[in-house]
Amino acid sequence: MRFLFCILFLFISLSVMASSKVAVLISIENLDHRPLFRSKDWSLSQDLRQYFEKKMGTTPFEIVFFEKATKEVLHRELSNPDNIALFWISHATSFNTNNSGLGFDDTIIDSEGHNVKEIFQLIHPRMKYLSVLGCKAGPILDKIKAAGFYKNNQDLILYAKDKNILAKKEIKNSILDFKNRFTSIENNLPLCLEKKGLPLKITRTIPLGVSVKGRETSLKILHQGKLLGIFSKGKSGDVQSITVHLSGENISKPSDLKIVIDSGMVSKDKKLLMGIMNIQSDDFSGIWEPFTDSEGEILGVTQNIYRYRGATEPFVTPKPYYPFPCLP
Amino acid sequence: MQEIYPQGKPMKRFIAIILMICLFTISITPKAEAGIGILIKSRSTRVVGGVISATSGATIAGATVFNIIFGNSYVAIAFAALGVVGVAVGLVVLDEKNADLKFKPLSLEAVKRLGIHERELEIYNSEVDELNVIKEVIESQVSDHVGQKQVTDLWNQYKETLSPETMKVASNIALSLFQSEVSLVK
Repeated sequence: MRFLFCILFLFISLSVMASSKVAVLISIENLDHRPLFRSKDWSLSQDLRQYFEKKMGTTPFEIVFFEKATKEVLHRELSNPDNIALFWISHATSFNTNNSGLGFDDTIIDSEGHNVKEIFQLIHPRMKYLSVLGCKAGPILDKIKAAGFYKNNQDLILYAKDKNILAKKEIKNSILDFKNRFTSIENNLPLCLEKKGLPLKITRTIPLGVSVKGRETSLKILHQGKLLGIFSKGKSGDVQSITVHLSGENISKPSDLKIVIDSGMVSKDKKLLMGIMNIQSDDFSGIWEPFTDSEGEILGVTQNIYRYRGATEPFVTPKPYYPFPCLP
Repeated sequence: MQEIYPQGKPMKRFIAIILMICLFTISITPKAEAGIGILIKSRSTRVVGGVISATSGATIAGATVFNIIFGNSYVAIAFAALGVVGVAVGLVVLDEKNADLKFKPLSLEAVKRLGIHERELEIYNSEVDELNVIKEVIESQVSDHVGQKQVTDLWNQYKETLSPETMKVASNIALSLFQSEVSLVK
């Protein structure tokens, strides 16, 4: 009996300790940032990592670093129930919204030149601290929060500024803020989150024999500006599949079921290897077709659109699903 | 602290400067579709970093660093021209010099301002993603030296993929911006 009790205690302790990681994602290109008199081997990422470690000092948390982090890594770590905190360091900028019909996109850019701002919509409910260190990133997180994406993250503390920032200065300030707030590794937040939605199965097929150098890309799957999921970087001949879920709200006409497949690449200099999507649903009777020109060629350099044709009344009501991994 | 990057009124001044440069090289027609052509020619991804600092990310970094430290953007711009601050001493500013200029959904308030019908606004809002895809396709096919006519021809080629209502609203948006920038320049 005592032996069983010890095993149970050890299991619970391990569950608590497993949820005490701090993920640090550094996503900055080295170009234009090498100070004078530094060797060509100097790495900005490593420099910032060493600075972060120095400022964090001794801590009960396990710090895990990811250099040249991409949107796939960001999505994975924001969804990781073991992470109690996440620091993201990259270039960013934001703009005031207006009703002119034209505007610059708020941008949080990864080291590959992709805008990853939508990735910050989906955060595991066990995350307690999110620090986005990029210029004017504060308004971007404010907009995400105002849109209701953090309603399952009631304990989440956000750290981001609404002005231009210096990297090391804000790393230091953010670490100080984090350490003042969190001294214990304990995380009592829910182990799992259940939601309801309408599943869509999306299959991405990348044709064989296509020249791919520099054109491979991961993709965001978006519906009405909301992130549904991510396709990882794909190469020629790959077939990838994912099941995502629509909320079922705000669907009254076919255009409400439009799916946008977006690389997030800011530069439009090269046509990316998007692949062809096949979208299937057991709840809608119609089909999704790509947005093409008059000759049937799919339009888009860094993003493609799939438009729904058919009835919009779903056959069944939304089903339960788990948007994030659950802890035992 | 005055923003260096386009935002609200500073953004309009920024685009006005770009458009003024365009005026020397192209002929302006009053047609609404020319407004879209000019907009594309301004190469949206370059606008943010375009005028204040010609090409170098280092000078932008220098200007912004100086701005943060001293809060004076005009002096900052002077230093940017010399390129002496920021990168040279290893200070890293986490600003993003490239941002995507896009067509955005409109609220009902825009109906009167743009001279359109509510139904046209509804259709435009439902196709704004497609409009931006067309815009990026055209962007990828034009260089900085292409004429305004070529840009407008490309729009004419692709406009069949969009509803006429969407094209009308987009044209009125571009023309509205163009007219306001021309009046600013005057």
